[in-house]
Amino acid sequence: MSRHPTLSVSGLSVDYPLTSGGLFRPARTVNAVDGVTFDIAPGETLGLVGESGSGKTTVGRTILRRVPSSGGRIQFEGRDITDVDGAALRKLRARMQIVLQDPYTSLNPRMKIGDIVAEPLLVHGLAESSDAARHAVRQLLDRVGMPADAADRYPHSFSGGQRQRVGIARALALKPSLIVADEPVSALDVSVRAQVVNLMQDLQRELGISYLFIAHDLAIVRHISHRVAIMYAGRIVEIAPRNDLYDNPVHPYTEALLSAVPVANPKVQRARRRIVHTGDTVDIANPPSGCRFHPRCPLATDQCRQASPPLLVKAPGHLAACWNRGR
Amino acid sequence: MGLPMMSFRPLRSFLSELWQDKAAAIGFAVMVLIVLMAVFAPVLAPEDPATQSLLQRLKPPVWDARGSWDHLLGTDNLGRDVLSRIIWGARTTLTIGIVTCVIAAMIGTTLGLWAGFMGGRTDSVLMRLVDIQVSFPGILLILLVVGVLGPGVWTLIAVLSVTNWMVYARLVRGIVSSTRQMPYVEAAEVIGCRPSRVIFVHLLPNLVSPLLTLLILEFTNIVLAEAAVSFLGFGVQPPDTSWGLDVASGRDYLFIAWWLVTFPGLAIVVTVLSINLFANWLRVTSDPEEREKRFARTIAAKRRRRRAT
Repeated sequence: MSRHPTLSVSGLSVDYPLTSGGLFRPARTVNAVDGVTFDIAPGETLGLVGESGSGKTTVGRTILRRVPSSGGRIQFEGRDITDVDGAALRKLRARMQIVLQDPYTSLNPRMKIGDIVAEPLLVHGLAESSDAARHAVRQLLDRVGMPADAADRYPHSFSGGQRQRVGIARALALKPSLIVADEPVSALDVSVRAQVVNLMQDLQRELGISYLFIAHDLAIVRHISHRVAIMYAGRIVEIAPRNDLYDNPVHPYTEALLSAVPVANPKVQRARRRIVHTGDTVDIANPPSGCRFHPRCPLATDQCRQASPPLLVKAPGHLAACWNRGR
Repeated sequence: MGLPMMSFRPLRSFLSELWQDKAAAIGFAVMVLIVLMAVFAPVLAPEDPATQSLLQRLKPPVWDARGSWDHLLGTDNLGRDVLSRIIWGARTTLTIGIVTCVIAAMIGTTLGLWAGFMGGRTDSVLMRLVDIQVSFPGILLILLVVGVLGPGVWTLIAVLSVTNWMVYARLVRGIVSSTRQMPYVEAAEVIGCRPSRVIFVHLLPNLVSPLLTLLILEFTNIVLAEAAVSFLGFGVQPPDTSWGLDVASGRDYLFIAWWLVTFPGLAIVVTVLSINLFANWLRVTSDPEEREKRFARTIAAKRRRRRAT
């Protein structure tokens, strides 16, 4: 293991413009991500979980430098990449890749599979032409379990799972050390999800890639992640090793989230208590003061309403942001 | 994708694929014939299109009782041979139509791409420019420019291009700004593609089929616009001729000599129709999924036919 974590994010904030500012008034913004901090070690998978609009996708996009950050630092392999741009950014892109959610729209329908996988090699000058890249492409397609004749066919002749394999092959072409997987299996049939996730795990073991695995499917996150971070309304509320988090959740939001996952054993399932918090999901354009979860939290006190809780160590390696738990 | 023209083999595979679609093949053949007709006009035309003969005024076509073999499609009000005028007119009409469409499409596509790709302020400024140009009466601009520069085919081409690029800009901008949001474009950017590669490899191919459709619609428009301007005396100048000019000037004789309007009009219709048939095929060919479906259909049709016999 090298000295540096593959990825280190500290205090990351992202503001989206809500209205474009006029000549005399400043633009209104939404604070989509607020003070997010985490590390990913080489060969590690961090699962990032949260409901829609919690900012998990934005975090992934910001790390890839697709969305400008408004605060905090991003360090990649020990190097600060928060302000890298132009040619340096393009070069950096070879080291961190993305696997997108929807395999039906993430492959150009007018390009052959072989050309899609060869494109990163061409763009970074690792192959002179798509013919020269043929060998590398065949190996990559073989590695992700695509049939040998796939290179000469178009995306529309493949199933969703196969297309996602092509998306993974494209991401692998540049031998990245980090892959941001943005809900890579949520658009797939349940029956092929496991195949794709297992493929990702095999590749990780073989190549030592780190994953930032963004998802809202808790079962799959548990399966693939080494550590899991839970986001709520743009903030990380809890981050812990997988089993710690699933077995001993600290934050009330995590508790509620986990209680919503059904267990495939009727007896156990009947005995479980489903924790349902009242209240609406947070309006991110107008976040509540203090802890952003307090309007829905059964434990909320005045302190929660006034000050936002810091992410503190509650057990070894287990961090949570709650005033009332784990002291 | 694209038309293989480099060597003999791709040309043959192009022709054999085209032959599967009979309508498109006919369209393509007619297009080639019309172009050849324009190129070889001096050889093909039985008479000089400008020679007047007052004794031969308003002769009907040959199949009419009063017609004669001297003038297959009759003569106009000045005794000029209609067939020869159509053959010669193809030159002017095709030149103006094609060149204008290409120039206007290039201006419009470039600006539309720029606006759609950059978005934000660049987009608003360029699109307001389009709005201004659209709201400005085109015919007024044409008369103004022609009045200053003097009439002529190339002046006409320049002016018609300047007044017709906006529709391309709007179309292209719309498609580009929506395609830009597609995940595969994002993937290309994350891979590290330069903007030029994103534009040429990932965005432009999506424009082929809508642009083809628009080009053909606009070709008809340009032919008619040229007719209108020529009719006003600012376009093609006699003794030159064009289909549009003939339709426009035959209008006065519509009730006593129907052939003056009908034959140049038919020439326009046949040209546009054949381009349309061919372009429809080309549109499908440029889309891999549609192309494979078409291929499967022809195979299935062949099998059915074989089983029936």
